[in-house]
Amino acid sequence: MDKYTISFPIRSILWLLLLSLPAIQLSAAGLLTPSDGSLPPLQIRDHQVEVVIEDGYAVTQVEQRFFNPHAMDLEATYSFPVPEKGSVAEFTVWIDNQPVTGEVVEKKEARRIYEEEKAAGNDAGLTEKDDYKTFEVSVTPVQAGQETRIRLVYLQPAHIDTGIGRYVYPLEEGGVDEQKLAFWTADDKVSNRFNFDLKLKSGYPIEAVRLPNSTAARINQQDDKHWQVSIDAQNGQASAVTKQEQESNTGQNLPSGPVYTLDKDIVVYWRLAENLPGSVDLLTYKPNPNGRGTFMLSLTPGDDLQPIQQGRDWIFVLDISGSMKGKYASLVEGVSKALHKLNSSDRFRLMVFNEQAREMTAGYVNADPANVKHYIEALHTLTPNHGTNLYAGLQLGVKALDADRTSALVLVTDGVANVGETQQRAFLKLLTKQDVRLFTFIMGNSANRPLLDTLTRESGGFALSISNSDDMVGQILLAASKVGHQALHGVNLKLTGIKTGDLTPINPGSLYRGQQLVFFGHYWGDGEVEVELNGLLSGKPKHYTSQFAFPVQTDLNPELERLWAYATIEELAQQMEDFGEEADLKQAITDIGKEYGLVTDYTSMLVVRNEVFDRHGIQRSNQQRVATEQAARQQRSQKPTQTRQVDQQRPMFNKPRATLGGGSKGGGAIGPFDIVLLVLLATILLPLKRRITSKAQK
Amino acid sequence: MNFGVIASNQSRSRFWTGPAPWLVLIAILLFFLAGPAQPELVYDRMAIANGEIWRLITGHLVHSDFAHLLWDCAGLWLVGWLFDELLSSMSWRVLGAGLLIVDATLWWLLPDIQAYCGLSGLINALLGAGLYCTWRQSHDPWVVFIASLVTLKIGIEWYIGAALFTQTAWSSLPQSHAAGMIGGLLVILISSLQSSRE
Repeated sequence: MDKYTISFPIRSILWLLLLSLPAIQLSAAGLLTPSDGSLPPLQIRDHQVEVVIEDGYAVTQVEQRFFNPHAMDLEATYSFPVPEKGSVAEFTVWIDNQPVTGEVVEKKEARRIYEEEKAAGNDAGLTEKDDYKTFEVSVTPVQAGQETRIRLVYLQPAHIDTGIGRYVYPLEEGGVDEQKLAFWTADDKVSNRFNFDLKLKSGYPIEAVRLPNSTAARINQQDDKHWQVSIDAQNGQASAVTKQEQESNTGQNLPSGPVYTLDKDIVVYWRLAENLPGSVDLLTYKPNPNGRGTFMLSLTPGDDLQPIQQGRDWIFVLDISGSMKGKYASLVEGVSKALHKLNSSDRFRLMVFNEQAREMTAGYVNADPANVKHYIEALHTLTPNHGTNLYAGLQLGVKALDADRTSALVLVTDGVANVGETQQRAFLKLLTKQDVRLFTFIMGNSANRPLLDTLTRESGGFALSISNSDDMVGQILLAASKVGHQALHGVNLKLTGIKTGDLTPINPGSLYRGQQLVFFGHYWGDGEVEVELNGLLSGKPKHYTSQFAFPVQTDLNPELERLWAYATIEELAQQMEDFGEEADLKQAITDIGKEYGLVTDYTSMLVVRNEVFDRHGIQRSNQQRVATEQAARQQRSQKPTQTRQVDQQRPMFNKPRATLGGGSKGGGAIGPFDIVLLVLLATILLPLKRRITSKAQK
Repeated sequence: MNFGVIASNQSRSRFWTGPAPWLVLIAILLFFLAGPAQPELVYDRMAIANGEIWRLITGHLVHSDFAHLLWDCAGLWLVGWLFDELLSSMSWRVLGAGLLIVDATLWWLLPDIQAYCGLSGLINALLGAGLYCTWRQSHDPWVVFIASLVTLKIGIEWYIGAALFTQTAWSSLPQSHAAGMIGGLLVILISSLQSSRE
């Protein structure tokens, strides 16, 4: 099936969704306190974030101080949204003023030991993952009138899409877990100091860095490959700026106490220079020349996917469940504008779903003004409520497809599938019945990203995650650019020459315009490798090849091992969703989580006193790994940025990379020639001016 | 039609009350206080679409490097000195129209241009309007000759896709010169037509 542009309708819908957001009461990252008031709240005194984005991945370090102003010792529970593809790799608690780094233990066992230590009044900390929604950090005790200091480090890939990089520090929770919302109150205020410091080191020149929705940020360019972003709010002058900004964002007067509120994602964009070549970048970690190495292979294709000019059929599947409350009026307005943008020869269908799904339109209708007006009025009569039966919505959308015409299914949702069929394999079965591309716009941080990602990938479409702090128009441009061009389907990668294995992803799906393909894997030995990327373009085979060397020894990027492990865990988790929670898959995830020190659905990061680790026979492997990574980061910080491109000798792609609409920049500049011309002009005009002036005086 | 021709002893004060020196001053201050091509101030298509509409104005006042600032400020100073007296109160309207037409051109006719900064569009608006006023007042063939040279220069720049002999960090965008000139001429022509009717 071919795809076609969706820029106007989707742009309108999402634009208006964005406009609706300030009115929404969203939950945020913060310290959790029982809503029934049975325990008094603690305070977040300091919240300091350091991010380094380099070599295609981001390392985020969050250091916090919790303060207990009460007369009794308390437990602190800090919750924050799971960053996209983020894996917690370090959790450190200061015990007796000394940092103690956590170790990964099976989830139940970790919780048991933590509870034991808590009951005994001993120091302990625990980081757990609540499915795809949140990471929860517990620390006990925060002593009466005292502070507790913790540090959390997580890793995530930092890919470039259509020449634009995007990093999100997630703070907003999506408000989709009603039980949790009912039980807990999140205190998201930072009382003393908030600091966000992001260092961006790129192998390719960066033209611009931008933080939408954050006017207090300072952006400094050190050179064309080094940029720094910082936000600093503390008791004093800087906090006033942030407070003012937050007041302008929320439209509310904040109390004088907090210097920052952890309720809005911080989104950072960077735009690479124009006309960069399509490239293959290789990053490796192989500390032992005779041992196993880990690699990250990033393929950034040239812009050789052709635009598509086709007729249009649209099926909009819209989430009207309870979590859409407050957004619904704007959603209707968005749909209205989208429909008004369609050509009268286009056809559309409107599906809505909460606990049940139903069609608003009676089959396909032409997008003429009378129909549009009629269905918009009908949408106005609905009220969002109840749970989210995503399956029913999609099922109705799929049934509505006309086999004789090309169509696209556009799903806009901010929630999770919590009613009716929720099994991933059932969704997959549904979508594979028809040849349809699903394009999903995932709103907020708490949507079921794993499910939606899998569905869109399996259908050959794509999913875009959208934060409320995103430049919505930018995200729409990215989506429109993808849908408006051919895609390379059935992509696969072949490596020959040296021994390689454990490649992930096994099935990368489709490659859309501007997307990068990033593979992780292991290799043994060293030497030249023939790399072949294959796929189908409009049904015809397409091959790209290159050849370059894998090095014998490298030790600067130990984080690659965890990135590989996380990507592998993601793939295993998908298999579990597809085939059920089989014991061997669960065990595989647990083993990888423990070996590589990652917090997963089955493993947690535990901090206890050293003697307690010893007592339970918990080896300090993560402590060693963290030390290696810290040393490598220190080394990297002192080295100049290197390009990781390896295909210069035999380029894999002929054309420059795709950018958004050319994306070039221009200067309104005149030059010396103009000045000479103006001086010449002056010598001629001055006598004329005098003549005109004297004539006027007479 | 009255283009605000004034007595020569008032011309110096007229220049200082006109827009040119103030725009030059603002451009210099922004450059040295905020740095080159300040990301929050340049014309940035995506950011404007996202509601940051101040960039439609501030984009014209920031510059990509010192050379860019120097030539633009020198150009605006010269054009202001030459024509503020003739244009009088029309200067602001000419600049406003230049700004609108340049922004509209960037937005609708040059969607590939993601970012823009610099004063040259406005300089050309004043230049176009000033030349027309001078010709209206003097009917001197030299004015036609100079106007032809300016038009030829803009035409060549458009053809080759770059400004002549201009090297700045952000390569020059000749279309903004043409758009600015059209904006300036439009204001003068409309005023001229209104005056004729009166």
